Amino acid sequence: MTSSVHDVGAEADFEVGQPRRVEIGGRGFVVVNGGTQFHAARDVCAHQGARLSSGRCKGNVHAETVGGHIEYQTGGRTLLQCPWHGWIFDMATGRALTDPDRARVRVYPVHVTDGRVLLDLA
Amino acid sequence: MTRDSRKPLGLDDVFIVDCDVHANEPPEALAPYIDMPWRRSLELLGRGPQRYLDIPGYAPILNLDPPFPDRGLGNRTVTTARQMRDELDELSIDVGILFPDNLLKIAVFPHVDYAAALGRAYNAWLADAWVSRETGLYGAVLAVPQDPKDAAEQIRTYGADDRFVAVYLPVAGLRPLWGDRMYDPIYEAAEEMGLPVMLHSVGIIHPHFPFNLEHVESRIVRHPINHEFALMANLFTMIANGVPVRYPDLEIVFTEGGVSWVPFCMWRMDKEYAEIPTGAPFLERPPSEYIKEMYYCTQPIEEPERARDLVTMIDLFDGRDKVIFASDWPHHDFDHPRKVLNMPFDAQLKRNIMGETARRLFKLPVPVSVA
Ligand code: FES
Repeated sequence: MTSSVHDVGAEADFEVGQPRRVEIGGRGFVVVNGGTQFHAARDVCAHQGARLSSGRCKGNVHAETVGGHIEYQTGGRTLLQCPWHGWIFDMATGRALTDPDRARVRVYPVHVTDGRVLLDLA
Repeated sequence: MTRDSRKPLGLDDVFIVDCDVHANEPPEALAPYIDMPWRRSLELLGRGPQRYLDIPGYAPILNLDPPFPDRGLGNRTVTTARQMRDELDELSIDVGILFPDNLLKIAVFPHVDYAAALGRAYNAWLADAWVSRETGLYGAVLAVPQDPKDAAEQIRTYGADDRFVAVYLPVAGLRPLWGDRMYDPIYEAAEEMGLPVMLHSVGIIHPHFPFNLEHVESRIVRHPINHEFALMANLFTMIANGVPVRYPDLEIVFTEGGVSWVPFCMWRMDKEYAEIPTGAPFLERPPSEYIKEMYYCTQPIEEPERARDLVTMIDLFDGRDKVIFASDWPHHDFDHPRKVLNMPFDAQLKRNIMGETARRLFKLPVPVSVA
């Protein structure tokens, strides 16, 4: 394991859709088990600095045409909603759904190896 | 204070007055403070089902929106002074001025005696269980618009208590608007007691303008109309009926509207006044001059693409000593003080906005730790 990779716990301890805060060297990170994939980001919201780990995973509504179908998307992406003002971040990119170019949190690669969740801060 | 003056101001370097925090008052909490037959009413309401700011006969709501699956944000409430103090400590806030939760909708009740009794009970409950100089939690006397005479008495009673520093003027569902002369007893009492009046709205659907939005689909349309538009409409009527002229020592504060609507109101009213001065017969100067003398709470603080535009905005209404911080804790759209402190204001403007202007306005004692 290189020095930038940190073991943050057993896979079984991360319930699907339940964000968890882990601390490494005094810095906080939010780790989410998205079901098919794990994600991690700095645990500081890009808006006013709330802990994203106190938020929750959720879906999002989307419409293509007026009067048309309003889609409620839950599958595919792992979306994490900030507990303070409700901004929603795509955990794969760290970008906020409503303002992806400006509102972002830094994301980090996470892997599961031999049942351990490994966060790479490189 | 021994801080390095080159370092940016941190939350602990400034005295922070939060001009808008909310105490949650379930009906059963006010029941001991209200006379019969209303005590029985509140006891009954306390036993019934209660949803967030949604209690028939107490915090009525016309909720036309369907719930979405896992729609998100929990509704936070603060139910004791201890809880409020702890949470404001977490936010580095020194002083909080209290507003209600459910009774933000008090202006909608057609039953005048009930509304007045609720207002009295709320003020008594605040005095008994919430306000204290030691904890830095101060009250705004609820002035029930349906009964201005009774409200004036309340202002005189609690205005003599230095734990009350303002008068709360409810806006949601109000009719007529706050410029109407029926409210003169309230302004008279507030001016006499030296208490600023603070207008505060809330999101509702109600037949009275500008809350008659039952036909509007989206909450993101209704919410700013309920707040900023409502404040503007009230301000216009206060100017037209000469409230700032007839009560020259009365300070007027607008909450939960941010600041960017203020220049619009100044310039628009000046234009109207120049053409039709008879529309505001009490005025001795153009409307903008009175509007510049009023106070505006920051929340919900504008977040423009170029943050410096906010400084320009404040300068447009000479607002460097008129803009005061508010968080609106614990509501869903609250602002963390860090957000406002980190705006590109100079150090003096930061100190003014975060607490110094409010300290003067509300005549607050300076806490030893910050002095
Ligand atoms: S702090 Fe996260 S949405 Fe405001």
